[in-house]
Amino acid sequence: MRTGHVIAALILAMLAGCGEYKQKVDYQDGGYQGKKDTRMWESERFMQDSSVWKQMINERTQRQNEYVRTEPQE
Amino acid sequence: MARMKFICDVERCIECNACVTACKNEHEVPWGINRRRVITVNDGQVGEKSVSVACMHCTDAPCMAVCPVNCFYKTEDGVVLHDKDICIGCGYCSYACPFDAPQFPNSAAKGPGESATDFFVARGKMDKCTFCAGGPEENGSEEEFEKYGRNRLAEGKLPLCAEMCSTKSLLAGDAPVIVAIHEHRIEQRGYGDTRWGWEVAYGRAENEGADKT
Repeated sequence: MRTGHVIAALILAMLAGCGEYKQKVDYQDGGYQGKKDTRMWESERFMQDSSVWKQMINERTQRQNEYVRTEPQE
Repeated sequence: MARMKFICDVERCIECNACVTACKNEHEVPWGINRRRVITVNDGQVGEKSVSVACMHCTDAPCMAVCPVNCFYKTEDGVVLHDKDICIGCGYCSYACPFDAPQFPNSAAKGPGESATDFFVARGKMDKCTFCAGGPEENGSEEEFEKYGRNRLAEGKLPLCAEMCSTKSLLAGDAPVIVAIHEHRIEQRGYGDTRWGWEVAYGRAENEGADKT
């Protein structure tokens, strides 16, 4: 009787090895873990107004364009 | 909202390395780290081309995708930044970056013959171009300067490398604005469009289209 129990337990243990488990790890989309950053216009200089900041940046960007200073001769 | 980008016009770059020097000086970047560098193809031959390279603040940044501690974030203006307090210096971002932008202060590459990609040494926290936008510390604070360099964007200024470029080869700013400047130049040159990879980087809005190759 005792031997029968041992054999049954052994068979169950061996059958457990036949189980199929999911091998692929699910992708988890990571989120930013660090400190929150303040936005560029969140200062007294721009009075929290993004449009003021953007206008200033775009004006400065245009200074990189020498064609607005002089058009080349045809 | 703005989408900040760099464009380097290879027809104009004269390999003066002033952008590299300006970047190092402005942010007091330590020895051994170059946030920006100039690469020359066919150096010394007729028709050589130079291009100034730094973090390109990718629309679909691979460094953000591979970071195991999620220390990267993208600002509303499209600038890719990271939190050095979270970074563990693993170097994954360096493997992923196609521009070799992430830099490590304790890299073993110190002398001739030593590989710049020798990652099997102790590294410090990653450092890279911030588009002169600092990091997640208080804008303009001493702490921000110590960790990430000067925050010129919060002062209403553009990255110094582009602003001081003598030939205006390097352009920085909102993508549609610098694209317009660059396209005007191409028209004036009159020998056609020599751009490649353009549509991916500058040609459409961030949330438009599924193909991000």
